[in-house]
Amino acid sequence: MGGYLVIITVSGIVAFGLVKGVKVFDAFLEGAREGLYTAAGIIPALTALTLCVSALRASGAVEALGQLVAPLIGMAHIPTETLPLMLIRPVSGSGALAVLQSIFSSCGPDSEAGRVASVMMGSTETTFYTITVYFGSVGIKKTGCTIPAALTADLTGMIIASLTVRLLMGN
Amino acid sequence: MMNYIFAAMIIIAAVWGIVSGNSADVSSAMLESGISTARLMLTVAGGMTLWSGIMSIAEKSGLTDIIAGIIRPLLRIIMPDLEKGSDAEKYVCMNISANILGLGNAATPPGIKAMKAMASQNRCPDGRPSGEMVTFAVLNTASVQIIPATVMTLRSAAGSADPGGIMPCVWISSVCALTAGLLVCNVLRRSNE
Repeated sequence: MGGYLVIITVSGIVAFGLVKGVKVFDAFLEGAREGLYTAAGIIPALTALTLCVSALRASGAVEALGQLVAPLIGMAHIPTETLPLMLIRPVSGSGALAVLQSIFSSCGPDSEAGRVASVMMGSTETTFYTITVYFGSVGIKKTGCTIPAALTADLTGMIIASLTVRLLMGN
Repeated sequence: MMNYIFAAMIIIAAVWGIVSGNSADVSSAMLESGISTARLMLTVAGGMTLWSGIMSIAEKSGLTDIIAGIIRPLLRIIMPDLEKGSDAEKYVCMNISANILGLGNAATPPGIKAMKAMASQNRCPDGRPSGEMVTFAVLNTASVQIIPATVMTLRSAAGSADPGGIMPCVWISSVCALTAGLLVCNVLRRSNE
């Protein structure tokens, strides 16, 4: 199913652009260049966070934490392996990428943990960064109920992630 | 904040590794992290370059405007105090539709303009944000997007048999997350009034 969605999106966008008279190749190059700059921009943070994440995993601290809270997240049927991702996701986008990658290499992308982690990553944002950027731009420091609301959204997304993976992907 | 998080993670890893006798593993993980970053970097950069290219075609062919037209009526429900036809409304629509297409870079400039337009209409005293501003920030922290491009690229690179199979789950989860966020927003605001 996912395969069709990708084919339809890519070919649909190119065909729609062509119909609308867009110079599709030039538009692609322009966007791709921007994407390359964005990617280059996150490389230093990605390096720093990969260092932390791999060292933490190797030390056994992540596993110990996982065992500690396993009963709690087990109630929501969330795989324990995704706990580090849940903790780092709202704080650091690069850190979340590093954790996601480590879940893929230890459990596999098509394992239950790998799928749930993928859905968690795709359905949430770097909450604290986003709030800083938007409220910072207008000089507001008191953010009211923004952080509780945004963190509730993240937690809901993560619980629903494991629920949908179990129901829709037969894990 | 990242300074403390970075330092804490490194120090915990070092102390825990040495105390629990995993110091050899920790040191090799530290050395090898550079190599695994290089691999991750290539994957992420390649994916971002590819999808930014595709989404740039979508943007130039007016897909962003079409999505903005679809979300405008929905916006009436989520942000009822947003003035119809105002600049703030226009920028909010541009920001949301760019987010839906996964154009993070293109979403931020209109997002900041929307925030500034709403701030100029803000009547709340002592530097507090208006309800619309809070709702708008929550909208941006819940990532509602059609193509979770980076995740799919990483899945594909990790050898997944169906990298895009997670898409429906992502759609459902992000819409549920957004709904929960907006509900909490509303309840908290009412209890404060």
